[in-house]
This record gives sequence, structure tokens and C-alpha cells, in this order.
Amino acid sequence: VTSPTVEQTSTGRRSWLEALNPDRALFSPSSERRLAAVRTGLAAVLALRLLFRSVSLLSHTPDIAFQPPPLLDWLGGMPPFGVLLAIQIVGVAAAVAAVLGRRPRITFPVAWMALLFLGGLKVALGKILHNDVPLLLCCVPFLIAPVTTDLRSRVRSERFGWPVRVAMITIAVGYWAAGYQKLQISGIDWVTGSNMRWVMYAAAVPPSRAPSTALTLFIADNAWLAHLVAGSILLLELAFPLAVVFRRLRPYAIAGVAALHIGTWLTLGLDYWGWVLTVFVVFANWDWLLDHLGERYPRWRSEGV
Amino acid sequence: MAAATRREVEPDGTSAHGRVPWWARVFAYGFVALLLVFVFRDQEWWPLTSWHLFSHVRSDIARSYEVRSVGRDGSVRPLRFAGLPNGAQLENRLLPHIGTLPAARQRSTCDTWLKLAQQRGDDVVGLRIYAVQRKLPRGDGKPGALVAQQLRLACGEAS
Repeated sequence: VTSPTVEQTSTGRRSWLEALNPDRALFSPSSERRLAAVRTGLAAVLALRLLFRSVSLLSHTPDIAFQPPPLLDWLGGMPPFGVLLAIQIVGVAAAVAAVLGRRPRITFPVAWMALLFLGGLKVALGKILHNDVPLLLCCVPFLIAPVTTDLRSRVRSERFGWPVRVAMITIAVGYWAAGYQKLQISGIDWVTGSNMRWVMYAAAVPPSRAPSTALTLFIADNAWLAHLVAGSILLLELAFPLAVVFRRLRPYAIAGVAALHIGTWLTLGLDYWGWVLTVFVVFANWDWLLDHLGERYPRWRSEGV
Repeated sequence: MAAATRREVEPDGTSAHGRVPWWARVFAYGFVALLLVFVFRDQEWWPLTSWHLFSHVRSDIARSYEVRSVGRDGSVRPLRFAGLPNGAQLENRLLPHIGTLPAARQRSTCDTWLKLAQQRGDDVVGLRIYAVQRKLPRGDGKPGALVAQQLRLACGEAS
């Protein structure tokens, strides 16, 4: 049985003014199974982010290089390897338990705190890092949201909708702000000047972190391509909030984010896979996905209403 | 659970008992407002951030810091970070931000590097840290030409 969804039926009729109503943006109804799927997905990304990090490298930080963020200012220095490893193991175990729906009220926050701690320690090496920021911030509403693990329930309510909506807006604020800061600090010169070419040339200086400098130098050597790349990035960032309002734009937003961050890895060697997964988990049409997956896996088949 | 919720469902699929509690409303508005405050006030309190990602325009000049060691005979050469304990982290993580550290921290950092180099057996009596500007190489493998340099810090007998 398929029930018409409030979001689907009203989107076409919604006026711009209605769509921009902050109460509507934050508190639109959503299905119970979408809330469960997003929480499960975020727990899976937490598990991966915790698993794929070297606490050994972290533990070798000399005290003179230890500059913790305010959150971890109470630490006198980098904790020993054994403590870091224990936090990593507990964090991964808690995240896996949250994915499996075991005591999510406890396991999800434990996994989140483990990543907050280990991510903060990485920042303590002296540079503000954003690799884990969207994931950590998106998880915040789920720390206090209703706990549900039912991937079959189509019941819709504002109560199930607001945590997902807050996570969406968090990501949208992040991308929009990244674009806003570029315009605020550098102006349109960020696109029309030689900025992107020099970003690429700097990234190609040995020892480059990029898997290969061929693409990096190809963009740097072709001014028109560098302008196109810069313009596309700025457009994606500034327009990202539209994906919160217009659900039809969400697949394009996910594809754009994937292209941006895969491109960043190929050209600059900077690793933002956590952003791509977080955006996918939060913006994916889980009702549609679970319907299709339910044809294969009866556990996820909708019960209807 | 599903059976229980099914009874509470309206014909249009929404739950009659699914209103957002007042504290969730306060949290949602407060959280989004907090994110925006950090953007517009340009503040960092990780993981709350102002989202500066490549926001400054890059040019053909690369700015960085370089550390040079001064030997007993007065000879000056670049300090080799490779081989120092955690040398890669010191060079890649700490050195680029040394100018942003408090003055006392900069001096203690310089002293520590000097001590580490001496413990390794280097012929070094002092260190000089320069803020340098170099032309960015265009992928041809040639090192960038030095455009300008300014002594920012010195320690040991180099001071």
C-alpha cells in the first residue's frame, strides 16, 4: 500500500513564500522509517570515520605541537596511544551497535562523542579541519530526537521530521557559508581571477598529496577550465539551500557534492569522503530507496498505514 | 510498535500524536541560529565553525615559513625536519601556523627545535625562522624563486 506523502502532494502547490517559511522548513512531517534510516546511516558514517583514522600517528604529537580547540582545552597534552585506541574501539563498537539498532539512545551518543574527541585531537595539531564537521553537527539533533529503528513504518509526523530537517539545514548552512565566505573575503575575483589556477599549481608542488598531478596541472594550464571549475564550485555552494526547499533538486545536490569532493581528492589530494556520505544519508529519498530495497529484503518492506 | 502507531494515524498518513514538543522547537531554532552566528561573526569554536574553505584568493606567490640553522662557523643552511622526532608533523602542521602562536610559545617552539637538532648531532648553535615569499612553480619541477624574506624569530646564538 502506498500512501500519498504530505511533502510529495504539497510541493507542487506550495508557493515560494510558503516554501521559505522557517517553521515549514524546520518542522515538515516525515516518515518514521526515514528518521530511522537517517539515524542508521549517520551511525554507519560515524563507524567508518572512527575506523579509518590513525590514532597511532595522533599519539606521536609532541607537546609543543599540541594546540587543542577550546572544547579540549582541559587536556594538558595528547593522551597516550592506549587511551586513544580504547576510545576508537569503543566508538566503533558503539556506532556498529547503533547501526544494528541496539540501544541507540546510548550507543549513538557514545559513538558521536568518540568522534568528537578524536576529531578534536586532530584539530589540536594546529589547523582547523572540517573533515568531520558536517557529520558531527548533523548528528546533534539525533542525540535528542525520538528513537526509532523501524525501517518499515510509513507513519508521518512533524515529530519524526524535525531532526532530519535540522540536519539538512545544517549541511545547507555549511555549503552556503563556504560560498558566502569566498565572496565576502575575495569577491567575484575568486572565480574570474587566476585563483583556481594557483590553487592547482600549489597543489602540484612536490610532494603533492594528489594521487596524480596530471589532472591538477591540466586544470591549472587551461584558464577557461579553471574558471569553469571555480564558478561551478561557487554556484553549488551558494545554491545548496535550495535543495532543502525543493526536494526535486536533492539528487542533483547529492551528485554535485560527490563531483566536488571526488574532484577535490583527485586534484588536491584532500579527503572529504565523510562529507559525501553525510550529504547522501541526510538528503537521500529514503522512502523511495526503502521501497525498492524492500522488494529484495522483506525486513525493509513497508507496512503501509 | 508498528501496530500501536497504525491506530494513531490519520487518513492522510500523518500521526495525530506527532506534534513537535516545545523544547524541540527551541532547540531547532537555537541550533540553526548558533550555526549562523558563527558564520556572520567569523568565529571558530570547533566543531562550530565559520566555514572558511579556500576563501582567500591565491596568487603566484606562495607565503610560508622556513627554518634555517646557524652552525658554529656561522654557516647558514635549511633545518632538516626529516629525522627529527615527529619531524613531518612539526614541518607540515606546526611550522605553517607558527606566526599565529603567542610570542612566548613561538620562542619556546624555536628553543625546542634547536634542542632536538642538537640532540640529533647537527652542527647548530642557533635557529632563524623567516617568513618567505616564493614564486609558485608551474609544474615544471623547478623550485620557486625567492621573492622576499623577513626574519621573524631567532633563538640560541642566532638571536
